[in-house]
Amino acid sequence: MKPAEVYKLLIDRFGEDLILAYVETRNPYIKINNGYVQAICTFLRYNPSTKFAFLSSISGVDYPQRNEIDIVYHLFSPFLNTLCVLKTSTPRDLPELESLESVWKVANWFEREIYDLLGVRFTGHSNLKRILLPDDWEGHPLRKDYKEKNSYHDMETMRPDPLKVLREKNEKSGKSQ
Amino acid sequence: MKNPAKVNEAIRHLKPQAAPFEEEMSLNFGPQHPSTHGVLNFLVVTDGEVMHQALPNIGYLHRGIEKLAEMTPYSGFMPYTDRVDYLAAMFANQVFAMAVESLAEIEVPKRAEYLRVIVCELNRIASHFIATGALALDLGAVTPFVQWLREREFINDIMEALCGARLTYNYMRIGGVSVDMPGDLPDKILRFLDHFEPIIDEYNRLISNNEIFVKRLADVAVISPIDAVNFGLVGPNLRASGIGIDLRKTLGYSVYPDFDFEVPLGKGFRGALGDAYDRYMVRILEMTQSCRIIRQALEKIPGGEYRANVKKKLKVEENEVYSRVESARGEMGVYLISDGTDRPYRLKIKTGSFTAMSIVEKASQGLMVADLIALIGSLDVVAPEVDR
Amino acid sequence: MKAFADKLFLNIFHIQAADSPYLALWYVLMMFLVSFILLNFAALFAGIASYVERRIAARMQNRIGPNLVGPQGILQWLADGLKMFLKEDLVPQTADKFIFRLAPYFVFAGLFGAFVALPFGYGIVAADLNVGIYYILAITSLVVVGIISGGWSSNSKWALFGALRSAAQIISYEIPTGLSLMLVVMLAGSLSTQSIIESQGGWPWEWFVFHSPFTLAGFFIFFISSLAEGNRVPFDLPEAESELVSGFNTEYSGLRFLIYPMAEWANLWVVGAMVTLTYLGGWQIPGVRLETIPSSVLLFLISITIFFIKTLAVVFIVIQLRWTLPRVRVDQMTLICWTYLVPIALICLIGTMIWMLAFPWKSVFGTAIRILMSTVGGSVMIWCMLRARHNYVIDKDRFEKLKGIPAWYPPWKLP
Repeated sequence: MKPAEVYKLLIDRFGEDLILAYVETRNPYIKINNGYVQAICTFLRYNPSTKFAFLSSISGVDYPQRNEIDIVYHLFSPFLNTLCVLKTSTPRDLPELESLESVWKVANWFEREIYDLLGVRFTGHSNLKRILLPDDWEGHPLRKDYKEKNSYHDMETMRPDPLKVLREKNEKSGKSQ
Repeated sequence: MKNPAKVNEAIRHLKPQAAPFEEEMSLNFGPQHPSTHGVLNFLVVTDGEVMHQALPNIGYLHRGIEKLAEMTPYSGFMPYTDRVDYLAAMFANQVFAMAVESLAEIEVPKRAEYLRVIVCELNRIASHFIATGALALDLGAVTPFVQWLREREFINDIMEALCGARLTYNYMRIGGVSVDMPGDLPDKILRFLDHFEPIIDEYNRLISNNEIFVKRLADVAVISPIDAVNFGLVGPNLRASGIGIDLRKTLGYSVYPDFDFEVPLGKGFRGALGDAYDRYMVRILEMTQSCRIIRQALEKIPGGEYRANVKKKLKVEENEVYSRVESARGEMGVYLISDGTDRPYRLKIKTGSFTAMSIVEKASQGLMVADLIALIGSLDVVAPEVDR
Repeated sequence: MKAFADKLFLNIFHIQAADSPYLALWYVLMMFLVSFILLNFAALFAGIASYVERRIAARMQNRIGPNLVGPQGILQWLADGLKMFLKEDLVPQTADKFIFRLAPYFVFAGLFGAFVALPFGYGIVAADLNVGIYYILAITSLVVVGIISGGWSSNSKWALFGALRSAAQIISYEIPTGLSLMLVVMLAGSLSTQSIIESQGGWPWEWFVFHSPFTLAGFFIFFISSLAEGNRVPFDLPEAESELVSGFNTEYSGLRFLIYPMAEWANLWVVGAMVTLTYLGGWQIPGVRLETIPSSVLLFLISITIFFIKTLAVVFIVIQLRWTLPRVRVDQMTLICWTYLVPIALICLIGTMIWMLAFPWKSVFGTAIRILMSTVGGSVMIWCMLRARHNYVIDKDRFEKLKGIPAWYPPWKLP
C-alpha cells in the first residue's frame, strides 16, 4: 500500500474535514486536522489493512512566517513496508496538541523533546517536562527566533575568541616591555 | 524528578503493593558513575538491593546538533554527524548523506555505495565490540573487554588507512565518499576477517558461555515483543525480542539487496525471549553476518567513480525527506527539510538510543541494582546519541 | 616461638633464658622483632602482589602493564604507595569521623593478625597456637567489622551498599569455610596449623585433598568461600566498581584508602597459605621423614621453598580467576552459599567421618584411592594447562600472521 492509498483509506474513514491534504514530496505526507491526531493514529495503528505498528519519530518544525509549528509523525509499517508521514499544524502562540502516549509509549519521550525544544504542549501527557535542557532553562531553542541568553546561572554562555584574547595579551605585554 | 516525595507518589500510584517511602531509598546513579556509558543520570528508588524504579535523566551531553545544522551548509555538516554517535560514526554519515542525496537527486556511483557498505559493516563490528565488551566489563569481567579492544584496534587501523581518522571518520561525502580505498586495503580487510571470525568462537568460550555471565543476564530485564514495539525499540534490541525488522532487509537501502545475509533474532538462548542475554547474543551473531557482507562486498565491488560530481555550494530546492539506515544501535533517521538555500531549514536526527533509554523506566521495575547495569549495558545506550 | 626465643637467648648470652632477670624484656623484644618481620613480610607481599597481579592481568589482556618504574616496573608498587602517602587524608563533612578514622585499623589488625598463626616452613611459625585454625578464622572476621564501620560511617549510600553486601557475604561464607575446615581438623585431630601439616605427607597422595571424594569437594568449597571472604572476584560485590562506584571505600582517600587494597592483597597470601596448609600438604617435603628435617638447614630451606611455591601457585590461580570471571549478583552470592556450599559441606563432613572409619589412612584401599585420585587430579590439571597452551598458541599464531610482530615476549625482554 502506497502513501496515496493510505490517504484514500483515511479520507474514506474520516472525511475531508479531518484529512486535509495529500502533498507530494520526496516522502509524501498527509496533512491532518490538529484536533484528531490521536484518533487517526489509533486507526492507522490497529487497522488490519495498515498496521502501522511503529512510531519512527515525531519532529517539530517552526514556521514563523506562517505563525505555525508543524508536528510531523513518521509511522512505519513493516507489514506494508511503508512509511506514512502525517503532518499537522498548531498555532505558534499557543501550541497545543493531543498526546500520542496512549497509542505508542515511545511518544512520551518524543513529545517531551518537542516540548523542550519547541514549546508545544501535549494534552494528556503524563509527564510533560523538559528532557534535554535543564528544568529552569528559558526559551525553546529550536524556534527560529530563539536568542540565547548571555548567561545561565551566572555562567557565560559565550566564550571569548581565544585568538583575540591571545592577541590582546601579546599586545599588552608588548606595551609593558 | 528531583523531589523524592514526588517520586514516592509516582511509585505508589504505579505499584500499590510497593513498600512505603520510609523503607525506600533514593539514589543518584550517575552522571559520574563507572558504568553509565557516558554521562547519564538515573534516579534510582530502591528498597535495599531491590530497585523499585529507575528514572533516567538525560541531557548532559546535549550539544544542539539539530540547531547547529540550521546554521551550517550541507557539505559542512558532515563532521557534526560523526559526533552524534561516536562509536558508530559511519552510520550518521551515511544517513545524512542519503537524506541530502535524496533531496538534491544525486545519483551515487555504485563503487561508492559498496565502499559505504564495507565501512559501515566494519563500523558495526567495532561498535558491537564496545557494546558486548562493555557489558562484560560492567558485570565485572575485564579481560573480554580488553580482548575486544585489541580486535577493535585492527578495525581502527583499517579505517585509518582508508580515511585517516580512527574514531570520527568524516569519510562520506554528499554523492559518494571522500577517498577511494588504497589498493592493498581489500587484502588487509580480508586478512582481518580471516583472523577475526575464529575469534568469535574464542570469545564465546571466554565469556558468552561462562555460567556466571549467563546467570547474570538470562531472564534479566525481559522486554516482551509488545513492549518492544510500544516503546519503539529498534535494531538489535528489537530483534532480541523476536521481531525481525532490519532496515537492511526491509528497506533494502544502498546496495544491501545484493548481499546474502541473515538477520539473527533473539529466541531465548538461555532464558526468556527478549532478556538481556538475547540482546547480547544477537549482537555477537550480527558480527558474523557483518563479516559475510564485507566478504561479498569486497568480491563484488565494481570499479569506476567513487564520488558523484556535486557542487561545493549545494543548494536544494524546497522539499523534505525522512531517510533511515540500520545503524549499530538500530534505526537511525534523519528528517530533513530544505528551503532552497544552501543549509537545511530543519534537521531532526532520530536515534535508537533515545528510544532505548525511554524503556529503562519500565524495564527496571523490580530488578536488583546490579541488574540495572546489565539492562543499560545490554540496551547498548550511548549517551551522545541519546542527547545529540 | 618461645622455644626459639629461648634457644636464641642461650646462643647469644650463654645463659638459660629461665635464669635471666631480663626474661620478660627479652620476650617483649622478640615479640616486637617478630611482628616487625611479619608486618614487613605482609606489606611487602601485598605490594609485590599488586605489581605481579597487574603484570599477569596485562599478560592475559595483551597489554604490557606497569613497566616504567624501576627495571620492568618492579618498583611500581612503591611509587603507588608513596603517591597514596602524599594524598590528602579527606574525611567527608557528614561522616562519623571517629569511626571513619578507626575502621581501617580493624581491617589492618584483622588481616595482619592472621599472619601470626600461619606457618612458613618446618617449625617456622610466629606462634604455633593449639587453636591456630580457629584463631585465623576469628581474627580475619575483624575485617568485616572494619568494612561495615567504614562503609556505614562514610555516610554515603554507595559505601553503605558495599558495607551491607560485605556483611551479608562474609558472615554467610564463614559457615562453609568453617565446615570445610572441620574436615581437615577431623583428619589431623588438631587445630594447630603445624600439626595439620605434619599429619599430611610430601607426596600428593598424602595430602588431605585427595583423601576421599568428600575432601576433594571440601577443598573446592574452602577455596570458593575463601575467595568470598577475601572479596575477590567473582565475589567482589562489596566494592564492585562498576556497580557501587567503589563500594565501602568510596569515600576514603590517601593512606586510609591504601589500607583496604593492601589488606586485600595481603589476604591473598592468607588464602593461599590456608589452602596449602590445610589441604595441599603444607611444607612437607616428598620422601623426607619429618624427624630428619631439623638436622639439616638445607631441608629447612627446601620446606620453606615448597610452602612458598604451593602458596604462590594458589595465589596465581586466584589472580587468574579475578581476570577471567564476571561478578555474581548479590542474591546469587547468598544462593550459592546457602543452597550449595553449606549443604555440600555438611554432606562432606559426614562423608569424611564415615570414610575415616571405613578406610583408615594407612589401609590398602584408602591408599589406593588416594593414589588414584591424585593421579586423576594431576592429569586433569595437566590437561587443562595443555589445553590453555593449545588455545594460546593458536591465538598467538593468528596475531603474528595478522600483525607481523611477535605476540609474546619473554618477561625479561618485555618492552
